[in-house]
Amino acid sequence: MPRSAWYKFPPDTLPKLRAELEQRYPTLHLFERAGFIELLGSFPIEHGGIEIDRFKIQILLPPDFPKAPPFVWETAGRIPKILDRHIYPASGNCCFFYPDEYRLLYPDGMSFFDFIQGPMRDYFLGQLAVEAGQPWPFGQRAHGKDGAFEFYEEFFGVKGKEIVLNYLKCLAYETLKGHQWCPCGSGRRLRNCHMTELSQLRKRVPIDIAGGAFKRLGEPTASVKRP
Amino acid sequence: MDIDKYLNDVLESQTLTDDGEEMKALRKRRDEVEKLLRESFKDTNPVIRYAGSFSKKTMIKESYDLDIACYFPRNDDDAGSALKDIYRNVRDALKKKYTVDPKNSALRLKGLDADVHGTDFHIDVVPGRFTDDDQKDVYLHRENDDKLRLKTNPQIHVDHVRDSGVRDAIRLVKYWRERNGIEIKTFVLEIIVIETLKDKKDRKLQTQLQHIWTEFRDNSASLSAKDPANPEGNDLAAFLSEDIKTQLRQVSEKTLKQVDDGQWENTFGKVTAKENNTRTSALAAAISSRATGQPHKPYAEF
Repeated sequence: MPRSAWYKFPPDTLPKLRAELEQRYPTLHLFERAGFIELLGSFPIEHGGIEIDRFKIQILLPPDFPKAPPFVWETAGRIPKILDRHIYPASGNCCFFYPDEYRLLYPDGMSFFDFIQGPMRDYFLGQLAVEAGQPWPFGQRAHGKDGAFEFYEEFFGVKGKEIVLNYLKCLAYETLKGHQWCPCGSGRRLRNCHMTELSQLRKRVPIDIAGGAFKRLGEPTASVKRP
Repeated sequence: MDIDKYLNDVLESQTLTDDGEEMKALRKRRDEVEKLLRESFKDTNPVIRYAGSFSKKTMIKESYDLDIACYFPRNDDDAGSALKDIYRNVRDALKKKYTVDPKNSALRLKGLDADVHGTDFHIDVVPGRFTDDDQKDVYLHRENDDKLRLKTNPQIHVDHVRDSGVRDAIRLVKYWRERNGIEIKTFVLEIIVIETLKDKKDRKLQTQLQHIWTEFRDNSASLSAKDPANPEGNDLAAFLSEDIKTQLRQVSEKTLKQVDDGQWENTFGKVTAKENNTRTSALAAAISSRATGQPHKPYAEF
């Protein structure tokens, strides 16, 4: 059985969450099942006192929540279980963002209510727009590796897959060395180029995330490794 | 607040009208399905008819499915000699035009073409075979059960609910289940509601609902249901797991607190005319107010 220490300490974590849920989302109910915390019910999408719609959902809070984000399923079968609607076809759960995004933007995780009012609400607002024949209102990531590259381009403030890979490789090492070639591909030494930016990123990007992403996204080409 | 008037307004807001878009789409789809099945099983003569909540008149807008029964005569092997073959042959016939999600006894239809791929059409086709020439009892295949077939009588189910005298309460309890995500099957819930209200048919809706929730809160452990079509043969205990009983108990407890405090609208929501214009402008406003922050972009891995 997985440990779910996050809701056991302090001991009033769960009662507090239940009480707040009852106040703010009376149709969402919390259950403890085999060490997991599960929420069932319906989630209203409201604005200006108007309930626009509601989605029937199941939320699973993993044992390492809030470090890891909740898993959410739309359970009424309203959203087609296809990639283009940002549902993982195999598991059927909703995909709110590129997974590294959560760990990098929220290193300490998000509170439950911040999560459902933020990424989860954004996602369902998007689904409503798409149902109405509109494009995704806040944009969407490409599927698979392309979406991952898009995220890292935005996060690093760079353009190009090769540059992203070079940044990731650079950040997968413990220390940055001034004499190494700058991963931006300028042909200059790091100390004379993006040392400041990389040092800032070094603080925000844990080595395991950079290394993992580098491995998943592929090797950079030789020409970019060294100008 | 006049609670019964409010509850009747809720019921009205949950009614699928004959000339509404949803019913028109369902009927059109039903005709397509019937045509496809008749073409696929030309040499036999399956009975194809409405079943489920449409026949029972307990549909609600919040969650509606149209059940289409497709029953083959007892001595006809054209659709398959074994029950399992009938189920799979009907599934394969439907796959020509739909994405088919197999459920335990039913086949759920979703879109196949690119523009509607994966879209839920709210239609379940239930293949089966009549047990005799009277064409009343049927055997249904059970795809995921140890017990591979289920003997039932759909008409008894329909009559049991349609003539129960508590259809309004059933519809409201179904709506309550949907809003609160309780995982109980519809036909089990219907049987329980009818049994619970057998001596309270003439009571006000408010009283009926409070009685049901009180039963769920106080006596969930002993909840049971008997299939009216086969009371001794079909064991429904599996549909009332401990998890489901816990959900019924906990949600009922909260609901009773809400209604005791007069907060019926927390239970069933505000009844407002959900006009498309209002909804569309509220959606646009919600999107535009969020767009100034840092909204997240959805993703999906292959």
